[in-house]
Amino acid sequence: MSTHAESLSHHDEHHGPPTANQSSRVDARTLGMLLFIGSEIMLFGSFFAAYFFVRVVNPGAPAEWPPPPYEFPVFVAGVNTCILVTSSFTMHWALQSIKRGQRNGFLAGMVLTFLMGLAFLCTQLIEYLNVGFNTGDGAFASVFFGLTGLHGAHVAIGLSLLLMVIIRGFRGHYSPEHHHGVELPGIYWHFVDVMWIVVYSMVYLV
Amino acid sequence: MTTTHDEPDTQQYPAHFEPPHGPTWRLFFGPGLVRGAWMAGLGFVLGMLLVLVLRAWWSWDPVWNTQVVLVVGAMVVGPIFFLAGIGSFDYWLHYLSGRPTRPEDHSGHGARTWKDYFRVNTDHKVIGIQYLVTTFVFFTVGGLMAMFFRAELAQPGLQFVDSQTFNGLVSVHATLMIFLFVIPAFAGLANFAVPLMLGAPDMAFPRLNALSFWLLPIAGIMFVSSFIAPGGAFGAGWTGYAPLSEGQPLGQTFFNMGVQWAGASSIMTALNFLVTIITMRAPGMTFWRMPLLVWANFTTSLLVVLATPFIAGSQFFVMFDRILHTSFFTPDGGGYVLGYQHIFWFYSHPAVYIMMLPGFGIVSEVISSMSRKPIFGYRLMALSLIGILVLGFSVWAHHMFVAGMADWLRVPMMITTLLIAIPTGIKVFSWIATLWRGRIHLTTPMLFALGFVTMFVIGGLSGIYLGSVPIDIAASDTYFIVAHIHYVLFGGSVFTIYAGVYYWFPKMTGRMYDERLGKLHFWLTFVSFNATFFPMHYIGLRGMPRRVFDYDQAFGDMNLFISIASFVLGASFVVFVYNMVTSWTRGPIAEANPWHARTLEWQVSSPPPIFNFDEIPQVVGGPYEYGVPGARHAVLTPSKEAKETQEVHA
Repeated sequence: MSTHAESLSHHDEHHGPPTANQSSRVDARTLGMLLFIGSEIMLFGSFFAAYFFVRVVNPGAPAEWPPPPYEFPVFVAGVNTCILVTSSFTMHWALQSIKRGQRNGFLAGMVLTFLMGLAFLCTQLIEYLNVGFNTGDGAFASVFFGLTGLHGAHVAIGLSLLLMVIIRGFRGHYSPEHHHGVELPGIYWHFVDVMWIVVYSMVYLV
Repeated sequence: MTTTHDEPDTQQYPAHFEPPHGPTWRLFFGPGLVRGAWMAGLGFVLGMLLVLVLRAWWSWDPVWNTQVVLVVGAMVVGPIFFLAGIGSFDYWLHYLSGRPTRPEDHSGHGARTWKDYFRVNTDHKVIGIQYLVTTFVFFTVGGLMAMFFRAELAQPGLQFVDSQTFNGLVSVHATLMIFLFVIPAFAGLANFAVPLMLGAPDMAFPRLNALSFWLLPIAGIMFVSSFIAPGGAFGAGWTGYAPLSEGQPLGQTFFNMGVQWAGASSIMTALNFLVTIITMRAPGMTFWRMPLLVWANFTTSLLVVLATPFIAGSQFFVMFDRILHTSFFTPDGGGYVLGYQHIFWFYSHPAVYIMMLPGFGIVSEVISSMSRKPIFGYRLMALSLIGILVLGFSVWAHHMFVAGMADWLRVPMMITTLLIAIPTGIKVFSWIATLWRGRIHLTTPMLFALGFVTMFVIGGLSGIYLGSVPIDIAASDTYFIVAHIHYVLFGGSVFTIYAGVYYWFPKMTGRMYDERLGKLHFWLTFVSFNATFFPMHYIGLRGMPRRVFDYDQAFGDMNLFISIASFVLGASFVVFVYNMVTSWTRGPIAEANPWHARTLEWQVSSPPPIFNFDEIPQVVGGPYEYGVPGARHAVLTPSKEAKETQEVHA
């Protein structure tokens, strides 16, 4: 690194980039996150398309869904839904707290959000182990594991983002002026929650 | 790295940060290809152990499953460790773990020696060249494969390879050309040109930009290395139709996963382009003053961000069917076979516009500046791009007229398909109207641009035939389709890539290419391209099916002719490579603006200064006001380098 720094000072014309013009009121990082979420919605869309094909378009689709004797654990997943939706509110609380400079509220909110997300993921894992069917048991199982698994992977990504925020939060890296690092994982977390409501209603309820 | 986007809530090491280790330590443990290599190996071993431990723990039999070990070890964990090894994640890992980040000394920005091109580099100009060189390497590999199976096809019967290898060659050829050449070559050209054209110092997310480049060689190596997999390369075509692909040997998994890496690369690049174009335009650069290349990449990026997840999904499903025994597309378990084609083409039809719209942008730049006239119908040119974008999502099932899909879907898809001729026609007529009474300079990029317009019209016309249900039913799965796709993707996309490479070559390298060799390259390519692919229309309509290694004796002479022409086409590429290599090393020094173009990238030195502009320029008018008295595109303070070059030339 230092050799580079020296060579930089040698050719002194490289004095760092000019400040880019900000041609939109939207913050670049927020826009990037929103576009990424748009792409994610399309990825879920492809899984919902597969679901639509095997259940609606397919002429040989079973009349009852899931075909007996299999059952989806609607109640457990419903409790899990409540947990995940609540975690969205604690996430919002954490963000509002850091915006107002209330560090304790921020940290408590983040830790609660993380723990609820973790509880959701563990419940889902236990659900998988006790659900009574496996990936090879037919198209209904394919879309069940496909959609909930894809969503579970997103919860895992969201959790690792939240973990980073917590680590940095305990080190005091956020302030009322600088909380972008909380806001962006927060947007992602809300997306994961809303997507779960769609997945839950499509897979378990409909 | 632009300081604008550095997280302000970051603690930093003091400015005089001393690395604590010597050069040998840094060779093996500092970011770079060496660390990337050993970490990739480490990642593979860890992934393998993970699989074995879990399978043993759940007492699955057998514990060793080559396909699962390869997917987890060689195609997920290994590549991620490779990326970490070359240093793609260094900054982020520091940031995310809450440690202080290094001060930004711009050491990862810009290239001082050729070695800097083999590192994680955050300079969009370096990344653009990395993209182009990589893609042309894979273009060569894919082209050699094409010549190999053309040799096989020169006579009926089997001569050189067995049937699975033949299918593998064709499939890998198509996959490389699409995912490793056309799409990323456009991304490379746009990476170089778009921030300059916008008056921005770099892309919005330079580190993400570097990461998206490095995903690409991973995908390419996966596709090529499928040949060494037991059972040979994937042979289900680049379309990988299920359930055919689900019965393929192990090589198919290489395709499933390679597509994920290539797709992630193009989604991240597209996201970066969108954010850059929306948030980093120079003052005065309204949307209606953006060069058409920027417009083209804006619409393309929207297509990529919205459509690419669907191919990711389709390949996930095939892989799950192969590995997890799900039944997305297997009828026995209640799957829906045709679903694959719907999901696949919902990406892959927009993908043909992803492979074409940036070319439209390049050709608009070249034709306008080489005929010294404002582009005809600028706004309509931009709006027609958006028209293609919207219509492009509504035509996918025209690939499935004979696949057994619902009959009622045919006519709506035919109508939307034919409607696309309107925005495309607007573009073709606008280019012709731009040429009308212009002062045409027949330089190499202009020759390729004109070659593109003529060839693309032929490809577009055969596309209209194929879009009509009755003709498509007769011509489906014949060589007529092969002719159509190559007129659109070679005569279309590849010609525009050549045009773009020649056009920006002086800007990228600071040297001028050899114009005589360039023209020789064009004419050789143009003639041999037509000799190769035009007869395919004929043999296709006579009934020769595509995707075959053996065929009726009656097509023998024609196929021999096609094969010979394809070797000439391959030879013409040698002229191009020779021209590029010698001009890059020994060519005459190029001026800052050899084409006297108006767009911003030509207003800085060749090659551009490391941060593009000393001060962000002020845009005051449209980009193509050639011959309009008093019109200016932008006012800018010339950088030091540009002043020096001007003095040298004065």
